[in-house]
Amino acid sequence: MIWLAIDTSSSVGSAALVQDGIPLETATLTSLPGHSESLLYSVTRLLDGAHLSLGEVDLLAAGVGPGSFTGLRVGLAAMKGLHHATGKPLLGVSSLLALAMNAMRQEAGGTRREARTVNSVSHASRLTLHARNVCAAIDARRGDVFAAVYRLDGVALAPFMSEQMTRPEALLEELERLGAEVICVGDAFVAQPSATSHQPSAGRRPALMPHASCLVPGRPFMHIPSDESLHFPSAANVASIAARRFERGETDNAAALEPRYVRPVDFKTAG
Amino acid sequence: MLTLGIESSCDETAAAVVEDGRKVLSSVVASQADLHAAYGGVVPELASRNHVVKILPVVEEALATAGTTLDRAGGIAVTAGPGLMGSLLVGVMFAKAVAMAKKIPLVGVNHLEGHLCAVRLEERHPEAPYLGLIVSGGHTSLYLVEDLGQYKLVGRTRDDAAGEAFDKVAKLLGLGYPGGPVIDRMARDGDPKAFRFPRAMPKRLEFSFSGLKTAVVNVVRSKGIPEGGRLFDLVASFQEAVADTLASKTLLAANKAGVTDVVVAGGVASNSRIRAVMEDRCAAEGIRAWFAPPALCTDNAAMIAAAGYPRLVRGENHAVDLTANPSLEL
Repeated sequence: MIWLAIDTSSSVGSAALVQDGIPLETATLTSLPGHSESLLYSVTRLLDGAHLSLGEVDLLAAGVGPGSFTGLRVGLAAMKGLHHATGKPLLGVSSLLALAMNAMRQEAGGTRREARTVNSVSHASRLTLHARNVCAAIDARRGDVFAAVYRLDGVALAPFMSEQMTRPEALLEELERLGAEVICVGDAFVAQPSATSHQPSAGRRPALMPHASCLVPGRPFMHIPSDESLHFPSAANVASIAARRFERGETDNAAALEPRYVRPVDFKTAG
Repeated sequence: MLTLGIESSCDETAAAVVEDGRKVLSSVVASQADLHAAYGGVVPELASRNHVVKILPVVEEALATAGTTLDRAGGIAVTAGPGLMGSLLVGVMFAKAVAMAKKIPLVGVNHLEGHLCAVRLEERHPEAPYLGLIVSGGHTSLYLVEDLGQYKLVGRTRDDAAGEAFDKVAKLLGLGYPGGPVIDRMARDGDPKAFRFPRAMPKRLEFSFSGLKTAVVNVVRSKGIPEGGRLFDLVASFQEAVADTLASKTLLAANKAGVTDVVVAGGVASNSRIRAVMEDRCAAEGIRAWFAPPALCTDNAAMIAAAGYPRLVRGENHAVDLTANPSLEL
């Protein structure tokens, strides 16, 4: 089974062709707004790279957020178009779960290469192997984060704290209450150059100013991978979550698929 | 050749199938007017949220109603701008994906050009050169259409669009949203000469409706919202000022350009009084006034297909390079 999967929920988007759980081709998307300019161009290149035609793709999957509203709509509109044109099933999966799965990649890699963390390089590789909790949190703007906590259950991640919009300090309290090591992934945990500031002196700053100081550098029980690629949802993970759902016989009504906004519409913006 | 048109620039999700750029086989419009009514105007985020769930069913319905499939479509025309970015992106991304998957040529269409082309979907329609007035909730502009696809802006509003003035006045008088249809209905029972409202810059091709809106505000401020017949008089007088202004400036521009045909397009062109005034005043000066049927005046995808068709025939294809542009100029 060949999957074409995308995730456009964050500033670093992702597209992948995955065959029976093995990524054939992957691409990173960075164009604005919402990856609209690079997404389909990248899909074409993935197909060319794998010497496949779109007709040979069996299934389509998209990360449906939470995340950037524009990015999610760009991704879903494109995937609905591909679904309409090819008749292939389209499944939507949680972008936060796809993000959290990066922590498992980090776990597996931990034995081979040093799993460094921002907090404590020397303790990290030892500690992360014992961590069974994963927190995925991304910048939801206006000082909020979209976050979820998962617990490793066998080889899969089971939801422990459901997807929600919260304040960074409230999330920290939740994580403290776990009383356990937690691997933290997502752009909420990454110090980013300011997207809005035009002052060159602003340089790199926490993503969630002024609240970001709560999450970066974090607390001793939090393990924040230093590999930045682990802080954005990967399309390969989207494909693997969708594949598990599909194997269970689950499908989605493609027409009705919509982003998980979590944040309600701000109706004051009318007119 | 069958053209699939897709339009999502504001608060209508629309798709249509048009044969040879002329014959409308289907035109499906999913309006969100009811959703936005509670907020007195279009909420951009709400509009985008709806486009993403409407786009697929609307396109499917357009193809089914036309009794055709994507495989028989020779081209796709999609609105690339101007409009709300979040709304435009839904139509553009969907269209790009379909075009890529089916290897169908794709062109991006200027929404305003779409309005000007709506009249071409009528059996009888003028040939260039003619003067085009686009009058809607977002635009009030005069274009000299020199040839097919060649447009010269000769006048536009410096503040509110005419449709915006209708919406704001309706909101002020507690008549709900959108304001156009309700004012059109009420004005039939009012005296259009009861209130003296200003006509801005009568000698120029520039429009301005904020002064007119303020004049209505002043009436309400000094005497409150009129009751009974006076309310009907008030909206009739307001509407008359808009109709008079539109007709005067359109004729001024037509005479300046030396053209004998005028095309009136856009949602406000479905207003019955504006149509009547335009027709009478044009006829008095020996100029023919043309209107698209009301269903093709408001936002629709048949007009987008009509506008894109000549370019598809010429072999244009934007394919995956097409981008949405919220401030696209005609």
